[in-house]
Amino acid sequence: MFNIKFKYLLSVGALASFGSFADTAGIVLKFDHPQVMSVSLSSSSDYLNTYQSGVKNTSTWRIKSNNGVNIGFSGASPEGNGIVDFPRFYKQEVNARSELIPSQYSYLETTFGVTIINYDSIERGVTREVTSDLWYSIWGGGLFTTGTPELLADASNTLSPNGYWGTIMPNDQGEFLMSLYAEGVASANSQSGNYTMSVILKLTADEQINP
Amino acid sequence: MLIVKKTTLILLSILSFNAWSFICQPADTYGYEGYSADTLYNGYFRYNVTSNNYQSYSIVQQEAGAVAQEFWCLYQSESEKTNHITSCEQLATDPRPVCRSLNIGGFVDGVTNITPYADPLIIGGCSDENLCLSIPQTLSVSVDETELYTDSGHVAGAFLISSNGWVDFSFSGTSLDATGFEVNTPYFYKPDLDAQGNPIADRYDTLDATLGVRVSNAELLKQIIDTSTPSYDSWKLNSDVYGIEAVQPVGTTEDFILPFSDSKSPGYAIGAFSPLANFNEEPAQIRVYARAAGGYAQQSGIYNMNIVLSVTAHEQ
Repeated sequence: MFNIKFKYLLSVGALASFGSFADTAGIVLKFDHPQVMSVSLSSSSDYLNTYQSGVKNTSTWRIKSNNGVNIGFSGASPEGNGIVDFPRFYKQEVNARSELIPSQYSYLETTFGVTIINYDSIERGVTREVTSDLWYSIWGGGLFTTGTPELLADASNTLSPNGYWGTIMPNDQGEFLMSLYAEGVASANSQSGNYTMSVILKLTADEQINP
Repeated sequence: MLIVKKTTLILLSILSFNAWSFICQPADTYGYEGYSADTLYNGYFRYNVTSNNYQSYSIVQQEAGAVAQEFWCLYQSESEKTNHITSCEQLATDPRPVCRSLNIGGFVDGVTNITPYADPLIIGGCSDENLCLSIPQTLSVSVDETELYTDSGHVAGAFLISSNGWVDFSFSGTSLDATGFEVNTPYFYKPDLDAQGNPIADRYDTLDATLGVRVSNAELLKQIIDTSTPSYDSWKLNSDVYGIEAVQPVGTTEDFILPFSDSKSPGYAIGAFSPLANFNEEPAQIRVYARAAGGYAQQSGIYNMNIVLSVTAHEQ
């Protein structure tokens, strides 16, 4: 009688064989590559318009990210005893003795325009072509600055830069350029002197995820 | 009544391997299954002289007869060769010494060959017991889902291999290049998305990746043959720098998919293995570790790498 207590013999499956034979299995490794983002001021220049008695500042940022971003602006300027949350050229007025007058400010009529260029795509807005592989889009007239300070700084407004473009996807190298044009024009009652304005660029990651 | 217990069989197998000193491989003379004289001299004898301190060889036959199959046996010393040949019969009708006891094994051209998979039960016990018991080799490969994990440094996946014999392994994989063409190299890749989250046709990003492999819960043939090297259980995990438990994948995807006959492949570096014989009969495990890196030009998100493990059993 021949008895083999060897349960492997009982469990020999379809792949039990003599000679060479093979089996395969596959896996999918998943790697989560994080979004990164940086911004640097590429250039900034002022143009004094003596004919219109005004100034135009052009600032260009190089924005780098490997996924979508939202842009927004903020700023503040004094008005009376308070502060309003939009940027404009202002100066505190002085009296005849060159003393600062409390709560009294003079303003330049301020308008803004924004241009983005060399991106991949935008969620909304109109894209214009420079060449077949280079395009741009403008808000507020771009160089011709028709946007108001209130719209520039109101990110929730669909007419603001953020509302107009939505998500901006940088190009395949992970970057695009954005220029902010700010123009201030003096009126007859604008006191002469140095006007100032502070605008803050806010960059927010808006990562688009593969389904 | 003959009762054969598995644990005893496996133990005999291991002891047999460890006890070997001289090793032999079959020749294809007279039409037998085996290796050519050129392979046996250059790929077997000379390779093992260079790599494993063997010094001499002799050609013998296991059965009597003028056209019996020939075997090339390698020895680590002349005295060992003399002892072996002395133990053999030299019949006038046979061109070679007839050595009834041969140890089949060793690397041919640095690659695990088919004969180490021979079951010692069949070779050693058949004639003595007048009983031939042929146990077929089994093999199954599956994915260890519980072992998939990621951390900040690397990602990993694991395969489970069940077999009652020695197996070789290799990897393959596919991915899509930047324009969506399928390539037979595993990279991390993902489709590019536009600002609305829609995939862009024919545009993909890939990440530079490095890979490493570790075999666990297995007996490693290379370690049996060469006990002087502390570990053969990993490929490109920086174990030689940071210790045998190191997990720092540094292998290229191109080397990762080379066949196990290539000295740069994981299958060559680790060699043949057999799942450890234990009471739980747990499968051996092959873990694949990957590390990836990208920059601004690689869109963020989840990247996939497709890897296929092929395990080959060579039942003798």
